[in-house]
Amino acid sequence: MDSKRIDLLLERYWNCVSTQEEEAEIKAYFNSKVEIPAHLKSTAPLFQYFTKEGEVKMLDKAFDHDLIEKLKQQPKKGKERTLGQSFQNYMKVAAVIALVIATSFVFRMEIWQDDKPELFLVEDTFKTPEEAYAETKRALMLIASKMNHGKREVKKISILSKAESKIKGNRDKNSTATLN
Amino acid sequence: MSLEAFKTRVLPVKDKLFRYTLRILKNEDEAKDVVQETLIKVWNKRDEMHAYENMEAWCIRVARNLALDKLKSKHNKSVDIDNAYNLQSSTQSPYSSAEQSDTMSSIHHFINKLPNLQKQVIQLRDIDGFSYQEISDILKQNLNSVKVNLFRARKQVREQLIQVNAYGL
Repeated sequence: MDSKRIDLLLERYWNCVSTQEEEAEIKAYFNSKVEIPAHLKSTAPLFQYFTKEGEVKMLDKAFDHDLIEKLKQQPKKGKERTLGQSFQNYMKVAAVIALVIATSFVFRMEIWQDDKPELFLVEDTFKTPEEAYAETKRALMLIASKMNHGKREVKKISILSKAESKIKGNRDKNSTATLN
Repeated sequence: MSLEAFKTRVLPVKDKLFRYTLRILKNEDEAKDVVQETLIKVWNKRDEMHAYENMEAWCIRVARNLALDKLKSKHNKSVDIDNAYNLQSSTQSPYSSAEQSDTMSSIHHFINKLPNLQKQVIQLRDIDGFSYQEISDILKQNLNSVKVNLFRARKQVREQLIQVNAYGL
């Protein structure tokens, strides 16, 4: 490789526009036994370092042995476990579906019960209007009698409150008299 | 995936994983632990492996996460990792032996002194030969960020190398 070619590749390298192949070419050049031009002698160790560093192997067979033993001790991913896991997942899905069905069933029942009174409202309770009139009258009379009874009780309470206010008024008069 | 297939397909990545985690952790034993942990994790997820296009990049990503977790806990223990590394450098640096040049050791040191992201980018690109896209996937950085960090890392190493050659610093 001529000096111009390597200068060009190095320029591309420093600007981070070189390809992996070009970088491999630079490494190969500096690791070969060719006479390196004086102006490139300072750069050579860098690429020699990259190559040597890439060849460093510090993990021996003992490491491999320890690792393989540890891998053998790892819990196996058996079929039973996978089936168990998938069964659990299916159960989860089934539970959610059951919950949705139950909720919708309860919801529908609620709606159905709400609809029911409306159906009864349109139904007649008595066969003739006279019968209905008599029943209504009876019901109103009952309400009126209960109300009258209630009014009498309220009257008693009003007497009590009048008496209370009178007592209060007398007390105020006595207290002003003693002050004077 | 059988154990035999794991040995032939995945186990050879161990050296790349080790170099990468060593670059982050700067401690040989910890890096070994992380590599082992990574490979166990990969083994336990071997059924998902087919979903990953690039198995090597996936392994490195797993190792990266584990190494960074370890680094965090290390920081929590207030350990000066650079000092810790320097104390053990005679056993860790592959360039500290007599036959390796001082410049090589200096380069090793320059790269280790780079900011974490730059250090990882230069390791993945210039030493392990990953593409920009693979580095972007491993580091979860966009392509532009990968290139910017690589540019800065190379520039920094180059400048320090020039200083070494000019003044012997």
